[in-house]
Amino acid sequence: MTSPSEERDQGIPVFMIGRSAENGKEILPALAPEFDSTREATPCSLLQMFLLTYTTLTQ
Amino acid sequence: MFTPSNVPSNLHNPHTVIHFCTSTAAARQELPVVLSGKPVSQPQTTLGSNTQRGVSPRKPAAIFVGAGFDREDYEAFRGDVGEDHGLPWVREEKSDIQGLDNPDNWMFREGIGRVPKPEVLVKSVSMVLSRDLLAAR
Repeated sequence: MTSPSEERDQGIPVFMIGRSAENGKEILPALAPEFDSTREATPCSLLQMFLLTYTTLTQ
Repeated sequence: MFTPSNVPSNLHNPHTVIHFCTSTAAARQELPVVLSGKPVSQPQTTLGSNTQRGVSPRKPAAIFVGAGFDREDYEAFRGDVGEDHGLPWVREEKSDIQGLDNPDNWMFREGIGRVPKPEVLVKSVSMVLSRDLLAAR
């Protein structure tokens, strides 16, 4: 079971340049991944997560 | 090969901003460090998930430049950074931001001036990242 902060760190990693840090403070959390806790993680979705991580790390 | 089907079915917003700069000058200094997989010792901002990761930061899979930077600044920055890293560049254009003709979608930020509201930018940034990153793969 991952924590919400760990979940938010599992998306495709992006280096971002934007003009306003104040805007960034509000935009970054809104962009971060959220898992829908109402949907069970299935073997298929776990495989998809593995593939997402693998393809991201091997680029 | 990355495809939309690689995104877990219960995952919304498949992107994580790991590092954030507010100027191309700072990004020129910090991007090479982030690309090397090392922590930035004195980052311009503490925004981005890498600040929570200490000595084990993530490397980026894409470089995003917001529409607040003009074309010349973006091209000069991109030229200085080069393409050896092999990462896709994601450039947000003003035309990607919906509703800029509505004054209600703007606000004033001290030291910067008039900028689009965060909720307006979230939509465009998310759309541009999904569009360009999927197109790049």
